[in-house]
Amino acid sequence: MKNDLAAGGAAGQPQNSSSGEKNDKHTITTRQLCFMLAFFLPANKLILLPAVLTQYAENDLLLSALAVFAAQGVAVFALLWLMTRTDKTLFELIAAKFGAWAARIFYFLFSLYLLFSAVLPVTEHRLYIQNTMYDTLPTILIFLPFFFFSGYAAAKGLQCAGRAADVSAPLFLFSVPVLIFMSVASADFTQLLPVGAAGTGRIFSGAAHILSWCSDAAWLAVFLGNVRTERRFLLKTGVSYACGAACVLFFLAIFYGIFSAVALNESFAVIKIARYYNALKTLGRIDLLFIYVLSLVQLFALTLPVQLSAHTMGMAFNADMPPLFSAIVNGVLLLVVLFTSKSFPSLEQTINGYLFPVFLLFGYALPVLCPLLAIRKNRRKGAKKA
Amino acid sequence: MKKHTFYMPRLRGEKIILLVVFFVVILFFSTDFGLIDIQKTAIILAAGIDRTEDGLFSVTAQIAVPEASKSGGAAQAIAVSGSGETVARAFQEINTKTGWFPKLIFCDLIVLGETVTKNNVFDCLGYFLRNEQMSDNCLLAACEGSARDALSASSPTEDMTALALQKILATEAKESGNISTVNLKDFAIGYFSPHKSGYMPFLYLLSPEEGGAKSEENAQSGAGGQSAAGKGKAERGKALSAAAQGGKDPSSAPQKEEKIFYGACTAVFYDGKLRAVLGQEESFALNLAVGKVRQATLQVPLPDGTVYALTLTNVRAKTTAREENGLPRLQVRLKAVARISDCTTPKDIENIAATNTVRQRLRRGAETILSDALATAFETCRRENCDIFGVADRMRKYHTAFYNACKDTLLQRTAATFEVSVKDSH
Repeated sequence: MKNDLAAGGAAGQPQNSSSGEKNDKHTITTRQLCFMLAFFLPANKLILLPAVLTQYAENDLLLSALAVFAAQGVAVFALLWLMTRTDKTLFELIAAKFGAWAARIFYFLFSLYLLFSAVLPVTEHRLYIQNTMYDTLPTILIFLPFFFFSGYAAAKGLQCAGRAADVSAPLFLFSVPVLIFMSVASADFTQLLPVGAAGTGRIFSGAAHILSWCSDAAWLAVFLGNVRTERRFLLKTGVSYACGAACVLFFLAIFYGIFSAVALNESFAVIKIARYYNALKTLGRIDLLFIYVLSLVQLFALTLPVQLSAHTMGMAFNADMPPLFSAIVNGVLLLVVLFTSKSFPSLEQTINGYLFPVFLLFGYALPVLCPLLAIRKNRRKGAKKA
Repeated sequence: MKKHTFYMPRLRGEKIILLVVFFVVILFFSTDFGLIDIQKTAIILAAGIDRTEDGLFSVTAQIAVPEASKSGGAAQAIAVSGSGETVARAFQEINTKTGWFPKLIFCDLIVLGETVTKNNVFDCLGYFLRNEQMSDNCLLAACEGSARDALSASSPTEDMTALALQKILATEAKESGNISTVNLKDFAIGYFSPHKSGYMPFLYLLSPEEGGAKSEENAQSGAGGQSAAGKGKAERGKALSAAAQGGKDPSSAPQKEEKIFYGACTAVFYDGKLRAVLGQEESFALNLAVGKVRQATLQVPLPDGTVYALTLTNVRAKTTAREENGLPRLQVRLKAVARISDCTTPKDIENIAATNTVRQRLRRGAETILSDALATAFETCRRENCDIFGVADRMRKYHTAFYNACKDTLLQRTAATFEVSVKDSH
């Protein structure tokens, strides 16, 4: 039984989230949340992130990543803890505290942020597919099917994301361990030495440049109040987050162990690390089979911020029209992808180099502050009683 | 009369959307269904790079022709050349001349001609590092003379020269200690590391008769590195002409002289330039020390004129670098288990049966040969500033402060010891 710290009227409940009982369309289970943290979290950090991080932190890329995952861990834990303490959604908490209009405005901004956070991963994925899976330069149109997929998912509510996590789990477990097994023997982990050689400045610069990839706590905030919590919820989800982070860290270690001095030239890390496996000379590129399987998980993970953006936009406008908001969000994203198709380096540099405070705000500061929405209320109550 | 009505199964909108999504996802992963117009695509198996007298790059691509020949033989390959200020331009010229779009995805070998290795080889290797379609797992080799001659030669071991070369340079050869096999990625890592050093096999193009003599000459040399300068033959022909040497029925073409490739020597590079070529013995010892050798054969001559061949197994090498009395010290410890595999004089049956018993003077002889060869290889490399034993790399990792203090003169000040221990399994 949850101790609802944020008890009180939630004025201005939106139509698609009735106050009495939760809309099943938007409820996910603890298992699904765990799968998201363990499998969605690392999926899209295996493409460009390793090379970008190497560019700044060199052999200390693990320290940068560790710093980011530790900071993000605090934000994730704050939200997970809040999930165990309240049934209210973030919208309801804000509405109870600041009023419905404030909640709507915040959700609209949050929706824009989620859409913005999807821009780099989606364009990155387009580049990845285009450069690695096609021998010759294909038309930009080859990536359009993603938007059908994403549009469908975004119109189906949060439960669809939970189901996608269920589907992703076996796919991830089938692909990533095999890719790691194929590549670990080629890695020379001493290349990570000497620790700290890059210097504190470069380590933190590297950390700042990967914030756009590591702002997963933001999407967790949307699931607030939409997760069916179970016994040992914090332990299960915490371990899942640790597994997801450990997977990325181990991948980074292997990546740098294999490529060391040329690592920053190896843009699409995941497709490259396994190709030095000895058996591939005889068997051919069977690693591609696992990379294709992982691509499916990456697609599911890519659609998550798009789904959440459509969902939060619907909440902001107090309208139960998921297909409309899905179309809007995907349409905007499509236009961005089309217009930035020839300028990915500038886009990447702008988002990671200059706009990282946006991720710091929504992906870190906001989730850490979320528990205050509940705790302050309780204190005031306690004061009144006294 | 009963009216027959055919009911179309009604699909709900959702199912139709799912079908569309499924269809487009297939398209998404289809990679254009992997269709290659084979008539317009040149599947490049190996690329050879030379420099012309004008300073242009001359790229010779060995291209697989997947159609069966009229004589019913196996698939053939032809060598086509193109030239340009950059390697990319040279490939473009091949495309322009032949109409084939060069496809590097199957390119597993890059041969660098002598004219290229005189300058920084990364002015041409950069093209391959930038190419996303091509694997940087491809093998690298330098060759005497021109790479074009090497790739155009006919090999007695394979129909395609590229495949013959790949066999010679294969990982299996590396595991026997005979070849200093290296791929593009590892060579690039060496170049872009602070020590800027690397090595690759050095190929000699020989007639089958010359092959035995060369092998003998190198086996007996052991006198250290040979200068890279002036070792090659003059570059033949003008590479700019870019003549396609094939494309016709091989049976109608004049028979080319068959050549074999001798790759037991090692070219060492500093800052991208070829600085020295190690002989066979030094290369062999180097491979034992820095490679992952599983089983190797070493010849040990005794003072009485008998020569024994020892098979070395369980080869374990440990290289350490540390600071000692203010000086960097490199220590290479090499351990191996030996057994006798051959001898030049007839022996009695008890002696032949006791392959695992290796007399002490034989073992000492093997140890002396290997430690001398390692010392010679180290001195040769030190003279040329090539840090192929990784002194700087190790000092940087484990003794960073010391490395930072003396990184410019590190290799020159290094005292090296080579401890080789050969035991028998008796």
